[in-house]
Amino acid sequence: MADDRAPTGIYGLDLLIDGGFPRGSLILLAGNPGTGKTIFSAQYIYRGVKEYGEPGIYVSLCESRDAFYKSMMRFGFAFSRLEETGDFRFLDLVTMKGKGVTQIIRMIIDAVYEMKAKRLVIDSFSALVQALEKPIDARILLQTILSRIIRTVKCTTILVSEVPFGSERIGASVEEFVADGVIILRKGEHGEGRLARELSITKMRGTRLTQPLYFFTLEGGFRVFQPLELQRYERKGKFRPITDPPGRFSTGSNDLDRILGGGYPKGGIVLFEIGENISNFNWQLILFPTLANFIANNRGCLIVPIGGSDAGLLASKMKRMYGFTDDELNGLLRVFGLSAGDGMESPYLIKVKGEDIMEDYAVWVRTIEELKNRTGQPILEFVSIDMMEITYGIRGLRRLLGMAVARTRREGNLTIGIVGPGVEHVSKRAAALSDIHLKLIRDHGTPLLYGCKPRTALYAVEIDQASPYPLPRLTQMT
Amino acid sequence: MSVRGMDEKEKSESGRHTPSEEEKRRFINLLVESFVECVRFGDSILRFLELKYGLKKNDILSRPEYFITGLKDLMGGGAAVIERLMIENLYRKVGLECEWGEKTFREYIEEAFEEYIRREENKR
Repeated sequence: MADDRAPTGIYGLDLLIDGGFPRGSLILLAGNPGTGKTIFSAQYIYRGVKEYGEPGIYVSLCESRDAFYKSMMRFGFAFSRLEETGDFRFLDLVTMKGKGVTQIIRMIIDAVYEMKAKRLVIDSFSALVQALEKPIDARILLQTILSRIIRTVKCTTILVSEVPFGSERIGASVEEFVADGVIILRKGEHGEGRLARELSITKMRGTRLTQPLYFFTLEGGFRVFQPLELQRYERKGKFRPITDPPGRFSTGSNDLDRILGGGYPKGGIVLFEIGENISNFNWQLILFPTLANFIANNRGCLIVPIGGSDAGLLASKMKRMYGFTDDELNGLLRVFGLSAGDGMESPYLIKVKGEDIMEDYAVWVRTIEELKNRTGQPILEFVSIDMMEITYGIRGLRRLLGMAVARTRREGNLTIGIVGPGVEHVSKRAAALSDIHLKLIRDHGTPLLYGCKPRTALYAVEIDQASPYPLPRLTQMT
Repeated sequence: MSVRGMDEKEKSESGRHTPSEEEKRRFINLLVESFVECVRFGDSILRFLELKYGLKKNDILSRPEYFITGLKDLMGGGAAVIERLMIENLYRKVGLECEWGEKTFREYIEEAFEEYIRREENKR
């Protein structure tokens, strides 16, 4: 931790701003009501005291001490206990507003000095400004009093600014010029009208900002989602099978099972639509656990990507990510590939010509029967729908889908069709046939998952760091 | 020249009236008023100077250089403007016309203090 930085205490944020706020800086935290400003500020103070040993002061002009302490217990912030240590002070100035700003500022300065505070929150600066006589006083207060004093004593300060709904301005408009950093919290629409919390870093002195907007959640405290590319995993164990709930196939991910009411329906058709800028790892993080769970439960899996497939690469990913052996994959995994492909031979590669749809479908059905006879269990079929359209054309695809859907339902298997971006005519057709329709999109560097059928909330996708192998951690966005 | 409030012996030897503690206290109040009236949130600035540099209000009279150093540390270049406004305000309060010359902050304050004491004597 660099000494010239004050760790924010906000999960995920320090990595995005070079380790924390510049020490002794003035940070403006603005947002509409209900966007999480108080939780952000409280966490900054609470974790600052508890984990970084930096005394802090919370100045409240909006909420009484009792109300604040009670609401923060929801996040596990026991401020009353923190106060007993002497390293935290809550200045309840709700009733002081009428007594004048000079008195308030004096109380703050006294407390900062007395405690040798390194962290200060003024919640809210907007309320303080309301008590000023002239608009120009806001600038003077900020420029000549707060910012200078704070810099001199190196007390990193958050000024909370309330932005009314519909307003484009941040407070008195002075704050954003004087502040060293500006963070704006808001709710934006993503995933066909679903709301998500957004954090925008519009200014941070001496800091390289790689992107201006991030998503965040308040579940378990204020946490900023990092782009998936920044997350790493290290496999520490082999995939452990999840038992299916009645009438369902587990998705292999407890989080996804929970969202889907236990998993995918037996005999069900799932359409998985992938948006733009989604990497292979992004969608594989959601779908591969289902594949892994079938294999771990000694069930067969058939993957029908046809063109552009690389069976060897797919198998090596299953080994690397989930710890399967060659024997397990050789016995339970089958991958379709064009016979004009790379010519690589392996027990799980099934070569088809890609010319006659009925001929290839016959191979498909035979492969399923072979896997079923071997395991005596239902089969998972992974079908790349857009690749099939390229190979067989739209008419061929429709015919193939019709046959595959009927067979899956009849035999109690599970079919997951995957559609990439730019083929809406295909996805519309497939959506009409599906029981479950999921979409994976990406905004602000974060993959987002939601269900169109059934309609679900929006979930941020991360790697579950508590799992010994890559599983998705799905966090509801509102 | 030195400030009367600082050196009682010197003042007695000059043959003039030695300012009483009450007179000094009233003049210090005038000094503080002069400062607070010319700068917004002056009270807060004085409190900050007290906490950071240990500067009490009566130090503006007895140790004016320290006061100015603290003010410069806090306000940067703006301190010179505040210093000037404060002197003008103080001179008005003691009934002097302020003529800007080569004097230091300490010398202006001493001049104002002497004038204040002279007027207090005349009142008697």
